[in-house]
Amino acid sequence: MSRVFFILLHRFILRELLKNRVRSLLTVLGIALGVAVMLAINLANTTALNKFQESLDLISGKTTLSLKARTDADFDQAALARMSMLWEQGIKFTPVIEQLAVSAAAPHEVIQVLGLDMLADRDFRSQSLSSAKSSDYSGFDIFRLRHAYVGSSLASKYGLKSGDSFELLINDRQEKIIVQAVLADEGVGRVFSGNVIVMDIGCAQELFSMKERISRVDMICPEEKIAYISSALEKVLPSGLVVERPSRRGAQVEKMLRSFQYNLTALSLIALLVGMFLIYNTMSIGIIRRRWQIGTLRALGVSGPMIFRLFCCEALILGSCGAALGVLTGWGFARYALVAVSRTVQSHYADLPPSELVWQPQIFVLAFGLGLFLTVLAAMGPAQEAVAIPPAEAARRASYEMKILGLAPRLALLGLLLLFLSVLAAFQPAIAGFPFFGYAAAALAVFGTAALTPICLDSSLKALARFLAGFLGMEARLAALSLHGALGRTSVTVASLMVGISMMVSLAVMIGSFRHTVITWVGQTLKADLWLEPASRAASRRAGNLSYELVERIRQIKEIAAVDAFIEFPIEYENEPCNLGAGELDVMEKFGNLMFVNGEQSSKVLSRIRGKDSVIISESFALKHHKRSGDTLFLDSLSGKFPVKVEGIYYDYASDTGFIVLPRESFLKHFEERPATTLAIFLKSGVSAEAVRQSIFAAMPANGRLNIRTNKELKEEVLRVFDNTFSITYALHAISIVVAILGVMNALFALTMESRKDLGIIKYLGASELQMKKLVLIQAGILGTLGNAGGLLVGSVLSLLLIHVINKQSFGWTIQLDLPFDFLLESFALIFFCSLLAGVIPARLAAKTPAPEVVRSE
Amino acid sequence: MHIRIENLSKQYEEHHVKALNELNLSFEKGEFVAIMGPSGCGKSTLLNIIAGIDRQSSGRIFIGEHELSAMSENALTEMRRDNIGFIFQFFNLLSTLTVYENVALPLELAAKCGAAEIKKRAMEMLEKVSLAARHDFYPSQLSGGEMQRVAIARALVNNPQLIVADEPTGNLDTENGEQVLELFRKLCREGMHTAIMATHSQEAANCADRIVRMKDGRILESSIK
Repeated sequence: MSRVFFILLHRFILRELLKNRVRSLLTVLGIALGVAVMLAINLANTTALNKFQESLDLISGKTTLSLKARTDADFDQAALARMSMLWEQGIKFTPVIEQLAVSAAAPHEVIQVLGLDMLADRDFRSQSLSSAKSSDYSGFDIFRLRHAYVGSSLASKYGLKSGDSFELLINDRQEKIIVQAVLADEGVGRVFSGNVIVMDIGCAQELFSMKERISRVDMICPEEKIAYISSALEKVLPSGLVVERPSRRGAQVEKMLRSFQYNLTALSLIALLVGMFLIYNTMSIGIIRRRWQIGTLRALGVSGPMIFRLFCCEALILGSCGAALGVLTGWGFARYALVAVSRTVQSHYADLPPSELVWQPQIFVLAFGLGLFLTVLAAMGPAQEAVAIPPAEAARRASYEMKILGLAPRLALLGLLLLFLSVLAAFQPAIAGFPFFGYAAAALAVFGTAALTPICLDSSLKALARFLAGFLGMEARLAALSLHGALGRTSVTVASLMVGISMMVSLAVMIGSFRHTVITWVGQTLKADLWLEPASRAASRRAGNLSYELVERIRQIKEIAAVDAFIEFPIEYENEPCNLGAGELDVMEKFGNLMFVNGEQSSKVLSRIRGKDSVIISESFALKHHKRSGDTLFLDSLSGKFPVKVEGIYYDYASDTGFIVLPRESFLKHFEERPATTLAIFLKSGVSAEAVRQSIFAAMPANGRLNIRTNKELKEEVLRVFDNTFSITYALHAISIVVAILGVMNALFALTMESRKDLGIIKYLGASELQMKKLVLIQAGILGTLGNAGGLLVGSVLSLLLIHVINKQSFGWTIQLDLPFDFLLESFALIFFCSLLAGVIPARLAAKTPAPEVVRSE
Repeated sequence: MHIRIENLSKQYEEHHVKALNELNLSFEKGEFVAIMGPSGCGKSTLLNIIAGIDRQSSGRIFIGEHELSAMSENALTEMRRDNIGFIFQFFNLLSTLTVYENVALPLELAAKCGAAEIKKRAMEMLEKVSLAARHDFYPSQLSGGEMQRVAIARALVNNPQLIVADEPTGNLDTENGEQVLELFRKLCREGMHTAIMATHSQEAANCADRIVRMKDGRILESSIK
């Protein structure tokens, strides 16, 4: 870089940035918000996933192979006897029980419980105790029933020490364990971020009522023998068992979270994209304003490339400040994002260990770099425009606006082409489950409409000038005509505002429609009078089931007309995670009302599958695996694969990994019986749900712990979970509004500063301060209104893409379009009000325009 | 409109420059006065203060019965709107408005007549400057001479008693300058407008009834032709 470059950078760029401090600050804030959001979401996503992976690695220890049931269920420990051939190969193996429990005391933390062979397991996992032990500590006490080691994090949260008792919710009851010692914060002690209980496997079997059953068998097998051992074991073991590497489990969870995390990341980029428009806006207006300066520099011999580099440097300076502020504030946002992400993952996908944010420099570098890159990218167009300014043209201020007016038809053609490509992209399928084309269609729609903006404004502003003059006076006409006269600047401003608002509208429509769809679905599908689940499932969707005895006792309550004992557990279908459910479909047929995609009556479909090897599948499963009614699925059972016919596809919004639901009798034919996870209870007519709830509590053993919800309470709970799930989207939504408002303020400042000469002339011509204020405020109102109108239009297109393409391809859910009019009206009013508010300072500046000074200086 | 200036001074504090220094001057109704002097002598400052756009540091200005320094900002705005027309060296037309809209603007700002009347008067004024045919053109589509004729039309459209012109021919070639000046003088005479014109050009000054010469913020000479 030459000395001249730095001189020009100082005099031409830095001074300008400092002179227009408010505008520079607004731009920096816009970039900072975008970077902060992006950083926060990425930090939260990777922290959650890394913690999960770290926990899995710690549980696996030195294990290189694991034997487990294909259905992710526990299995008979008799399998161990068939593995004796491993001794001959010198391969160590050990049974493991892995279960979840929930602390009975608030805050009801989810706890990983490991049942290990305490003598053999040291070869597999490192395990050490903290130095603080009770005086009568004996290493052998760990083999006593209910005695356990607890993780240090758990111990410190609940103030546990050696010899204390600790109450746990296990399945449908509350149980007590004795703390034998506290684990050191290393090895197994760090599993689930220290929220772990380790006990002898025999004690764990007793605690979880898993007599002679185990979760898996871990093996330490040399790499070269893995293939041989895997195939040898599969020959001697039942086909329902599978040998796999421990890493597969992490990979499966990653697959499960993929859509959620990708989409969250994509949404987090929205604020950054709106920030890009803000930069484009700032740079464009800055360059238009300095055309004569650029022209003069060009006339003085400054080369085009140097002009280009100068403006790229300006973007780099704004981008660096914004990105730096973004990464600093992003850490704060990330704490909130981590809570929201963990809550959603916990509700819908997998139990996550509690996590503190982890310092991940690579994500900070990525966020900073991306913020900077996108800023410079957004500035490239305007910088190129600066290069193209011929020295002679610089003398004519209006030349750029005339050029834009001339370019408008060509830009419109380009816009139409982009919109056409957007339509094409919208009809393309997902790639590896991710809606790349859906997002491309959204981006093309945004850029397409942005290109159409000048031609639309050309006619609409003229019409507005006539229309507004009728009831707001000549100031309104002057305001609209001034905006029309500065078509280039107005187009950039309206397009930026439109993009910000469209993001807001699309998210609002998507969330509103989704919420409305879920409310309708819940209203039509959830027909039971009471819903019952083990208390432990309130904290973790994967912890706990109901004892057979309790279910039987409930069935005996005379006020109850029918009970559907539903079993639900995770399985894999074609290597993809999903859920298998088994219910008493005769009860569902009589009392329930599932909504089927083809509109068929629930009872009709359910009657077809009763007693047969047939299933119904959820819509998301059908879309993910390309299955239709009449297709055959091959499911893994303990005795190998068996075929089932798909009789119907039903709407389900509980899980995006999908459900396969078998009739209970078919389930019992192919799987070992297992306890129910939830009960749907239908009452006889005229019976009080509250009275039956009390009867159930009375039928429970003393240590029984259940969640019993009435139909109304369950529906409220579904919406609470929905709102929790979307809390982060609501936050992203709010941020995109803030960035859009920053855009309006920025643009208005720029336009007012730009119009100083015109304002000065108007003052010469006798305009009063009030008239000048009115003029600028009307300009602000027009910009807000046009941005709102364009945003509504583009937002509607984006919401259709979100609902029918992006969401459908990612999660497989059909969402019925429903416009949240109240929210949209409130948002529009807010943006309009903010536009006017953003115009207050420029209006005051305009009223105080020192006419001789500005007219002379220009 | 009679204008009387007494001991007028203007000091730009930030630059420690005295732009006008104890100036005394008067202008008669219908008089066409040219103010000449080198750049920085205070011509434009004087015009701006007379027009109520800028405020003096000391001294008094009477426009008719009114003393400018005693007037509120609103009263000044009103007086400027109703009684003063401006013509600038660089035309200062609003680039975003058409020729017609530029000319109609002072009438619209004054809001003293209806739309039909505004249109009638603006078009009449454009007829007088021979630009009615180009009423829907934008300033960027006009030549320099045409732009200044639009500026003259705009300055005269609300029939002000005082016209202030700052180097009206400074940005025009000789031929265009002469035509514009001739038109300006003719219209001022017709309407009995008092006109004060700052200029560097002796040819332009020769059109005036009186020439006032300034230097360093003082009056050197005031000569009636």
